[in-house]
Amino acid sequence: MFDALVIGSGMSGGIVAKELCERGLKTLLLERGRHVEHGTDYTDWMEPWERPHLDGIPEEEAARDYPIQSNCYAMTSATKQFWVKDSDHPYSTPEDRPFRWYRGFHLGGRSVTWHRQSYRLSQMDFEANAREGIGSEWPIGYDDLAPWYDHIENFIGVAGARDGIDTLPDGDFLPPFGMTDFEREFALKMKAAFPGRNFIHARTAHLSESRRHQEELGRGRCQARDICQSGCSYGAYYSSLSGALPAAERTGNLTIVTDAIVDSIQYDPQAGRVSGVRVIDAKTKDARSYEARIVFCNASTIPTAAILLASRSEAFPEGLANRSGMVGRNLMDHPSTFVSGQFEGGPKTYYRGRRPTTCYTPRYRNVTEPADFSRGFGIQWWGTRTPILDNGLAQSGIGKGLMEKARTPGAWRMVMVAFGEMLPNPKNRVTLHPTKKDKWGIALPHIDCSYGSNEQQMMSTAIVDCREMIESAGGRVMIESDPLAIPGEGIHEMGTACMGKDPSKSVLNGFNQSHDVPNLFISDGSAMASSACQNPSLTYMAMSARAADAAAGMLKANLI
Amino acid sequence: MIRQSAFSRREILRNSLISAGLVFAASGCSEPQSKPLGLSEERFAILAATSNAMLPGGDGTGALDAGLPRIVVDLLDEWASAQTRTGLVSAIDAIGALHSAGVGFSLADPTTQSRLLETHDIDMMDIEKQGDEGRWYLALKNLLIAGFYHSEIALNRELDWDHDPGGWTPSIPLTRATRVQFWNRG
Ligand SMILES: Cc1cc2nc3c(=O)[nH]c(=O)nc-3n(C[C@H](O)[C@H](O)[C@H](O)COP(=O)(O)OP(=O)(O)OC[C@H]3O[C@@H](n4cnc5c(N)ncnc54)[C@H](O)[C@@H]3O)c2cc1C
Ligand code: SF4
Repeated sequence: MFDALVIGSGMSGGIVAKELCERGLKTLLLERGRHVEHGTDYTDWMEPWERPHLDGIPEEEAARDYPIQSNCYAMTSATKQFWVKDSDHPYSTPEDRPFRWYRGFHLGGRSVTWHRQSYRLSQMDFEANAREGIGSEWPIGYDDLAPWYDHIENFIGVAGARDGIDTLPDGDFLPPFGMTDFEREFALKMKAAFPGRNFIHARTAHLSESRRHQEELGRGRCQARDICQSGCSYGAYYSSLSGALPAAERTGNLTIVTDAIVDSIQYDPQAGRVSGVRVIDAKTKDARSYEARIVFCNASTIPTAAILLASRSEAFPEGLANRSGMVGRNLMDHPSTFVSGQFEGGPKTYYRGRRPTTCYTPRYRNVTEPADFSRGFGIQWWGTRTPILDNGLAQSGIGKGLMEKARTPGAWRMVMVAFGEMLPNPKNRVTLHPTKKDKWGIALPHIDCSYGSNEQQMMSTAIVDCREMIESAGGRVMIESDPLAIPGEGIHEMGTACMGKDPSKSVLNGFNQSHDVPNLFISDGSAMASSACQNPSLTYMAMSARAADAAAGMLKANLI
Repeated sequence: MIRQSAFSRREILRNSLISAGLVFAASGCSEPQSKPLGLSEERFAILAATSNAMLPGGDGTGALDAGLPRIVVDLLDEWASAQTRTGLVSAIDAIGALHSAGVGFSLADPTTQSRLLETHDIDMMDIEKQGDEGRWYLALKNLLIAGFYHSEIALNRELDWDHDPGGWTPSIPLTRATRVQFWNRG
């Protein structure tokens, strides 16, 4: 019997395992995907000409095996190993309500492929549900999480600047990746034109500088290559593989088992506790069980809901920890949209290196500026000289003229991508398909999720605002997207086992502990009671560290 | 202004082939069909002449130095769906059908080939008017450009490629000698 069992080795599960191991708990980490060796299994060594098919996935293979994943910008021939084959991992949706579920089942999960944008939530975000009477009231506030944000930022390394903005609290940052001259000019012009908005450096989980404790884990300084989703042999961006798992392993308390698909969590009605999990071996399809004194479910939002719903017993006929009926409900993502524009003139400078991040404008709607919708959006933006491989270049004729254009840094372009807050709505939910099963005999998740009028209005405003900013800075809008992408495109799915004060309306208490089962904890995105508009993974990690600390304390005090 | 209907939030950052304008081809991709591999000698000759006219070497580095025709044939064989391949081959055939004073494109001298391709390029880039023919020409053109600027020789000689830049420098002077660094984000 282990002290603790963690399901999922991704962004949140990695941190849970590390924190539990560092508190002396013998911890079993179960991962459904294959083992990935940090460094040797990466493809960051590949030169562009070594990436098969100009880094594209053969079209017929994409249509056959990756009809969903191949829509993700980060899936290329060099990163293919980090995405599931949709043909092996199906799920269902209503025909008229598609959901794009991007994922990778392997050691490290999506911490290997994320874009590393890392922002804190603020007190405003934690109060929003209660203030508006929407969804579940958060049982924690910013002050509860603040020390854990510090703890995680210090561990993972976040490059950013201290900007003094209440609604985007500062943290313990490494030096930011500087703005280009064009971006600095843009920021100054915008601040003058829109005093209620802020134009700041992005905050990104990269070692712009490395500290001793990061070097001890074998992590080094970022080289500005922007090929991070191939994996980084320098360990310069944070992933479970570069950070949490080596830290957990050096305690001697960690056991990792890969190719272990948890299909259910076992409940002991006499003890009123979970006793362990049942696992299907991904390769042999054999079933086996593991036991532990506490269980953390960190399989990510949709699988976590599916595992709970599949864990039915007499005590929990509707699924484990589901006396509230809220498991699977309130699925959220971040709606996103983008506008880009071109500028004549601008600074006569260029830049060197490929900065792996952007700049950022935190939410200002319903903060310093009013809106006819609830909540708001943040904007990631960056300036670039005309890229070489797009239709713009194709419009440059042929021959020497075309080649001259290709090698000369061109006009400055501004790209603005807005991510908005999605309201919790119990109708947006994950259930289990009544009949369809995957090749391991596990019921398929059925995802029914759509954006509502608030998201529609919010993102329409985001487009107008971005257009206005580009034009008022002297640019001409070139591309504008539809206001709403397909749900799931934000790759920030969350909310299916929400925290809350009221056990009849939520699944977890303020320590990510199940209201119904005291030794069951959930600290991946499913715990989120609201989505805010900030990229969420930093919050999952902070919650995970806090929950692991609390669980270890309760275990030591024999409370669970 | 372009209005993007099927937007993926970071479509703008997508891989080279997609940003090379081939997304419309991929999205029309259906069941795999068997397809003939390789290109006939005649088509290969048209492709080689097109590559050379599009990205000429002369006293610098050009498509033929990079082995571009072979790169494109490999993409047709290994990457393109049957439908994309048919479309791209139709664009090669349309160029092959160009002629000047009774001499077909592939038999014309390089100067005439450039002139013929230049005129064809201007016609075809009016995509609204040209419809599918224009779109497949644009796809072929983008594929040639992407293939060339992914090659080792073009990246190192034409552009300023450095696998490990060593860090981020947000501002350097722009001089006549400054060259674009590779990667879609500029
Ligand atoms: C391209 C991309 C860009 C992104 N950019 C950002 C960004 O800039 N900022 C940000 O904050 N977030 C970003 N994200 C989102 C971020 O990756 C997720 O929020 C985060 O990884 C979620 O953490 P998690 O622990 O819940 O799940 P994951 O990291 O997905 O890990 C879940 C793990 O559980 C395993 N698992 C699943 N089911 C089972 C089972 N039944 N049994 C055993 N193991 C199981 C999986 O294999 C996986 O390893 C991005 C994601 C992608 C793909
Ligand atoms: S940009 Fe930095 S983090 Fe990304 S792959 Fe390069 S060195 Fe690694």
